[in-house]
Amino acid sequence: MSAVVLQHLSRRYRETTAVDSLDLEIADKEFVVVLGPSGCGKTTILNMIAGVDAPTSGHILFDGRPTEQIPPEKRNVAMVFQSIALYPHKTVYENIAFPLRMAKATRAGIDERVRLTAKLLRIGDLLNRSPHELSGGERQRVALGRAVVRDPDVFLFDEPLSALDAKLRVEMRVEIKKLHERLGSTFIYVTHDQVEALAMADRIAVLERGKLRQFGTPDEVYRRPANTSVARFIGSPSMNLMNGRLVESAGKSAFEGSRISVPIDDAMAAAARARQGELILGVRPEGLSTNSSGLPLLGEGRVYAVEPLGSDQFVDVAYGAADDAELIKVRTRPDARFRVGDAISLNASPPDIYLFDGAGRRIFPSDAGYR
Amino acid sequence: MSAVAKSLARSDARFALTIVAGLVLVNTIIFILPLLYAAWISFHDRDVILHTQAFIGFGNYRRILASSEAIAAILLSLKFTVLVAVASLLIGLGIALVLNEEFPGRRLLRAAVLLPWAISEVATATAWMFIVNPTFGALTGVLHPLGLVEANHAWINANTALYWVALAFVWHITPLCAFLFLAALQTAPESLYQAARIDRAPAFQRFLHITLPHLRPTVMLVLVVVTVEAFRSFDLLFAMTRGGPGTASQTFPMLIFRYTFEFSRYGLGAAASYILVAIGMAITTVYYFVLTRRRRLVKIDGAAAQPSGTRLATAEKTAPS
Repeated sequence: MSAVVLQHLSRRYRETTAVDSLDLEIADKEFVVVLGPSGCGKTTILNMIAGVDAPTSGHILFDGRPTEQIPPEKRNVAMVFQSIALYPHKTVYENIAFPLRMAKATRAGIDERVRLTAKLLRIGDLLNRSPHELSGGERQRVALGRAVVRDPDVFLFDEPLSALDAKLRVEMRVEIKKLHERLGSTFIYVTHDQVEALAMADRIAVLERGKLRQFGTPDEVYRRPANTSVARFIGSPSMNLMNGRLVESAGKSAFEGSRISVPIDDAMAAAARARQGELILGVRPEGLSTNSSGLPLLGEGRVYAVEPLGSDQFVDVAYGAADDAELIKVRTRPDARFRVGDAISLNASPPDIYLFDGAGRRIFPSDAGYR
Repeated sequence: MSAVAKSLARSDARFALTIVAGLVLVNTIIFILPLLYAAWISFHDRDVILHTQAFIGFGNYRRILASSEAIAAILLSLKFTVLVAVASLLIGLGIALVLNEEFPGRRLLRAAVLLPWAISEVATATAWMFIVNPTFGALTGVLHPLGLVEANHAWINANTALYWVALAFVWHITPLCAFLFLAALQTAPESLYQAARIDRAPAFQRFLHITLPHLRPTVMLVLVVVTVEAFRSFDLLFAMTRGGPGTASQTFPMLIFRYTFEFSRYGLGAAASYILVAIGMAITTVYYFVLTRRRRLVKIDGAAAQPSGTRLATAEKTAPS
């Protein structure tokens, strides 16, 4: 059991800042996913929590105790690696037993725990195999086993599923979530896959270029993205974002973009008026519809491309001249028929419209109306 | 298979055969024919003065293995080989571990370390003979003023000759070992060391459980290379001591040289060469069996439910190292 707190945590290399003054409070037994594009400093954070890398400045606290002076072997932390990193010369049994051997457990104690762990992860019949004789999923299970067997306070996962094929990844996702329920330890999981993050996390920390962009539940980061980078990163396909400004005439307010204008309601206009200058309007593909309810996206829209995906269908709609169009993605019913080049009109409903200021911070809807 | 695929396969095969045929031809001329000729010589007793030649079967082999001089030379060779192999393996590994660390000037040092291996064995011998020269040698020159040895101390004598040659040979061959080890060390995945640190393995255990198993194939390679090199080493020995003083450093290759080129007993020399090869191969085979590790297996719960054949097949297979 361990609560993990990161305080003003920074890690700088010669020219680059991998982690930039990060504050994060991870509660005991929580499943936190650190989400961000590759190279945003996620792995560095894990390495610092594990103790194999040292922060340039800031602190990491385990249950309120600072960890600066604690070497990795003294922190009760287990890690599952992207590269899986099983000891290639040891059998599955020896791999799982290794952390216990290093902790100088008795032979009988080791045997009991290894077998228990193997049973939990359903790899009991693989104990005598070498890692190179295992499939990708089996290897991943063994790597999990090596972490689980120690009964650590904190589990660290560094993109553990990225080496697996899509089908296996979905299976292992559920299994890791179940494992968290059963073990009741703190899980810190790093990934660039927002689906993985939404599916597993209690809370998601969205990271971009070493900076924390938002820390919230999957529902919060999806429905109340704090800024455009979170809005762009969470959800697939990602949110449509348009640059523009507020235009008011004859008591009516509208968002005016270069290709599209949207009449907006009073609440939105009030929020926009409070922040002068540039505006960014955001609407998710699933927040748009092709029927005429809600606020219309004004402008000349033409079907640009159609992507049928079986359960869904996504249509790219082009606004503006063909060579300089702004593309808006919309989700439609899979059985709706569209022809490329056809004129089309789109509508968005107020709860699905977001407004961000010029710096990308969300100004509408406010957090007040949430839930 | 389509006609196109067939003709492609045929042209591939023809290309491969052409290349292989060339190699076979060259190897036959410079390698296989001399080997066969040497084997033929080894079964004959040839007298270069009377110009006679008689087939004596394994007579030469029997004579060598019954000769106390030859047995002594073989034992001396084995001693020399063991000394060289153990020392160069350990020192080479040590140097590689140091060179694998990050420190300023590492590149330069890496290049410099390889130098002794690049120097010819005769030049090496000349340098070492200068160092140990009793009158004007560097070793005496340094140690005598300190009062540690008397002037004109004979470093090379009947008791020490083999060790001095072994030392020079270790100096010559260790850089090669260090480089083979260094190359292997650089392919050791960093993530394993990280995993082991997080698994609470201290530095020595990480070396034991990750570095050494990773180096196992290289240890095998180094042992085979150094053993063969040391066991058949001739140039350095010839240039340093010529097997002397007396027969104090007369190793088996030195004896073969004497048989063949000093006594002109070609049959004896050829037979001894074949014995040398046989011993070398025997040692290498022993290495293979000692260094191929068998897996430690555990009982698997509910194993009876499994088809026993597959389990046995897995269990008996040795982990390729």
